[in-house]
Amino acid sequence: MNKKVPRRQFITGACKLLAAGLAAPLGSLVVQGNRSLAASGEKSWPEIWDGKQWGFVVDTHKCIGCGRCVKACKQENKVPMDDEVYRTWVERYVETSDGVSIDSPNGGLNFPPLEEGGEKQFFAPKLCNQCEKPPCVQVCPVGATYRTGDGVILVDEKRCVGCRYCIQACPYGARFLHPETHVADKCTWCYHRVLRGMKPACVTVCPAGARKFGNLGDHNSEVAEIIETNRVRGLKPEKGTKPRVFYVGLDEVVM
Amino acid sequence: MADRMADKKEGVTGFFQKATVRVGSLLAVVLILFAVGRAFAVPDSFGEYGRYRGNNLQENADKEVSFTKGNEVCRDCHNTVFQALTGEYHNSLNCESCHGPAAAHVAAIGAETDETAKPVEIEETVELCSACHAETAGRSKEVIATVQPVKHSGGIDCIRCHNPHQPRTGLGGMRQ
Amino acid sequence: MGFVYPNEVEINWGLFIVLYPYLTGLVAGAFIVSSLYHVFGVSKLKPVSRLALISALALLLVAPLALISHLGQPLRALNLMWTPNPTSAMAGFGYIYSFYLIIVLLEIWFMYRKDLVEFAATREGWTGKLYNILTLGAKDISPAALHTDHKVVSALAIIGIPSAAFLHGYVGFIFGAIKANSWWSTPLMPVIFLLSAIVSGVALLIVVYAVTCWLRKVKIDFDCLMTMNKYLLIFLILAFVLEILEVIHMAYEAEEEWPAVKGLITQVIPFSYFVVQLGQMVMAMFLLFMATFKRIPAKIRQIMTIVSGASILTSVLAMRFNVVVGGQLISKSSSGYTRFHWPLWHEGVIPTIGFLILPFVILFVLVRVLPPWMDGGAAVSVTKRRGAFVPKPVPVRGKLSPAEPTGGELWERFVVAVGRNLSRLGLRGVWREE
Repeated sequence: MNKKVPRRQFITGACKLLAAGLAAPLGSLVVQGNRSLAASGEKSWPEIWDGKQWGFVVDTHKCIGCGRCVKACKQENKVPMDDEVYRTWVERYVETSDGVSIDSPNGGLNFPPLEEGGEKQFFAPKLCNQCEKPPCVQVCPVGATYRTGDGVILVDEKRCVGCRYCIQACPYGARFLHPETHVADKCTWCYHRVLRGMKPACVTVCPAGARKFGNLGDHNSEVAEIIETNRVRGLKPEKGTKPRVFYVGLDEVVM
Repeated sequence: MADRMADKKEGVTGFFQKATVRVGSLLAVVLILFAVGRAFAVPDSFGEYGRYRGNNLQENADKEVSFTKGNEVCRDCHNTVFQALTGEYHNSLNCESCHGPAAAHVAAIGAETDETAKPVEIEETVELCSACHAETAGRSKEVIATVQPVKHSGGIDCIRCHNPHQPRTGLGGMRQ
Repeated sequence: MGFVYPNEVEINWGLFIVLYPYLTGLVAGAFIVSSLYHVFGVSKLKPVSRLALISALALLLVAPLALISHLGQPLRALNLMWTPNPTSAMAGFGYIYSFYLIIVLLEIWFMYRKDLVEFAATREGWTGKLYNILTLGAKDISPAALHTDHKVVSALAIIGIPSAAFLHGYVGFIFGAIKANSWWSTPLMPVIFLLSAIVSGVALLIVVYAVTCWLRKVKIDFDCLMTMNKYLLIFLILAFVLEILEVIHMAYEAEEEWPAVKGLITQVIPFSYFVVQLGQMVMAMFLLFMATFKRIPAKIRQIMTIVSGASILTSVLAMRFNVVVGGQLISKSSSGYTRFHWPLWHEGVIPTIGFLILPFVILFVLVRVLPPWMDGGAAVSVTKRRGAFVPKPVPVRGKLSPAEPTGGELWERFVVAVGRNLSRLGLRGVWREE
C-alpha cells in the first residue's frame, strides 16, 4: 500500500502538467462561449452573493399535480427521464376511511386517475430544501458538496467520490446517485439559471403558480412578501435543518 | 541521535536499535511521500471560499440552460401568437410549459443549419392536456376545469375541438 | 409497502457496506484477543496470540476493498485523504484506517523479526530472498535486540487497543450520527458496534483456531479454547443487553419514529432480526454457559464452544445487515418501507461471498510466510533446525500458568504495562519503574 504513493504522486504530477497544458486554450474557449453572469465580467465571487439569500415558496393550495415541473426539471438538469431519480417530485395525499394514502408514481410526472377519496385531497411538491444547516454538507467526507454564500447547496461533480453518505443524511430524500455520472445529485434551484437572472425551470413552467422563487434578503420580493403575510412552515422542523423551502397550507400528514 | 546510537556495534540496548531506526525511517519516508502527494493532489482553488473547490462555482454556473427565461423571449419572434391569445385562462401560462424547452431553438436563430433552428415540438396528444385537465384524486375542480378524457371525447385529440391559445369553458371552448 | 420517497426506491448502501463493518469488526475483535495476551497477560491465549494478529491483518487488507468497490467513483477514493472535511463523520476513515494498518503491520514485523532473520538465513532460493527483504536489513537477534522487539510489541499492542476500539466504534458513529435515519440514530450505536465487533472477533478466532488445528492435525489447546469461551460469553452478554436496550428504550418512549421501527423489525426483517441475529445470540449464550460446566465431557464442551463461535459469526453478520440495510428500508417519509432486492452481481451476493472468502485466502498465504503456530505442531521440523523457536515454554494445559486474572488484576496489569512501556520509551521522569 505504502509503495504506491510515489507512483501515484508521479502520475498526479504528470496529469497536472498535461492538464495545465490543455486547460489554458480550452478554458478560454469555454469561458467565452457561455453567457453566465460571472463569466460576463460584471461581478465575480463572492460579490455575486451580496444581498442575495434565495428562498422558495410552495403553495399547496394551488398545485394541480400536472407534473410539468418534474418533467421540466429532468430536461433542464439532464436527469435521465426513465430512471427513478428526481430532483423534484410531487406527492399526492388522499384521505380515505383507512387513513391517508400517499403516492407519487414516476415522481408525479403523470398521476393516473384515482377515484376513491374523501374531502381532503391535495398535492405536495417536493424539492431540495437548501437547508441553512444542511446535514448533507456536514457529512460529505471530501468537501464535494457545499453551501454557497447566497444559500444554495451545490455538488462538485468532479470531486464527489460517490460514497452516498449525503444521501443517507438528507432527511427529505432529496438526493440520489446520478445513474450516468455516478456522483451525488440533487436540486440546485437551477443555480445556473438563477445566476443568469432566470427562475428555476420548475418555477418557470408551473402553470398554476404553485412554485415561487426569489430573494429572501429583499423584503419587496414576492417570496418575502408571501412568507411575511402567510402562515408558512418548512418540512421536518424537528430535524433542525432550517429548510429554505416554505410551504403555504401544508398539512400535518406531509412528512 | 538515533543514527548515532544505531551505528554503534553490538551490545546496544535501549530503544534505538537498527530495527526500530529502520522502521522509523521507513515510516518517515511514507509520511513525507504522503505530504508531497497531498500537496500535488489538492486542487488549487480548494478552500478559496470555503471547504470546497472554488472553481466548481463557475462550473455549476456554466451549465447549459434548456428552458428560456420566459415568454418575453418567445414574444420577440412569435408576436402574432401572443396577439391571438384571448380568453381568460391560458394567458398566464408559460409557452414552454406545453411546448417544451426552447433554449436550443432560440440559440439556433440565425444559425446556418436549419436542423437546430426547427420549432419546438409539441406532443399533440390527449396526454398533454390531461396532465392538467384530467379528473384525478387531489385535483380540485375549484382550481382547474377537469374532465374524464374518454367520457368527454372518446379520447380523440383535444385540439380537434379546442384551441389551446383561446381556451374557454363550456361550449364556447370549442374552436370557432 | 406504503409510500416511499421516489428517490428511495434504490437502496444506496448495499451488501458491500454490510461487509465493511463486519470485516473491521472481526479485525477489532481479533486484535483485542491478541492484546489480551500481549498487554493483559492472559497467558492461556498464547496459542492464538499470533494467529489473532495475522487474521486481523488478513481481514484488514480486504475491508477497504469492499468500501472502495462500493464507491460511485472508486478512482477518487483518495480524495478522503487529500481533502478530508472536518465536519464529516466519515472523513477520518482514511487516516484512522491507515494508522491502524501501520500499527498492525509494525506489531507483526517486530513480533516476527527473529523468525524473519532466521528464515532469511536458512531458506534458500527466492523465499530466502523474500525473507531477507522483509528483515529490512535489521539482522541483530541478540537477546538485547529481541528484548527491544518485545518492548515495542507491547507498546504497539497498548496503542492498538484504543485504536482498534476507535476504528470500529467510529464505524458505529458513522451510522449513529445520522439523524435522518430513525433506526440508526442512537448514541448507543458506537458501543453496540464495538461490542459486537469484539464478540465476532473472538468467535472468529475460536472457529479459525479450531479449523487450523483440525487441518494441521494438532490437538486443540482446551484451556485456550475455554478462555476464549469465557471472554466471548462476557462480551456477548454485554452486546446482547445493549442491542436489546436500544429497542426497548425506543419502544418505551414510543416517540414518532417507533411505529416505523416496530414495523421494520416485526414485519420487514423479523426473521433476520429475531431469529438470525438475536436468536443465535441467545442460543450461543446458553451453549457457552453450558460449556463452562466441568461435569460435561470436555469433547462436548469443545463442540459447544465451536458451534457457538460459528453461530455468532452469522449472528453478527445478520446484525450488520439489519442495521445497514434495515435502516434504509424505513422510508424517511415514515409512511412505508423500501424493498431490498438481493442483487446477484453488481454489489451483489456473489462478490460479497468473494469478499468473505478472500481474507481466508490471504490468511492461508500469510500463515505460510509467517507461521503463527505456538504449539510446535507443523513447525516442528523448522523449530528443530533452528533451535529454540518458542521464546517461553508452552503452558501445559494451563497448569504452569498462573490462575486466570480477575478484573482488578487485569486493570492493574494494564496500568503497570502502560507505565513500564512508556518509561522504556523514554518517559522515565513521569513513570517510575516498579
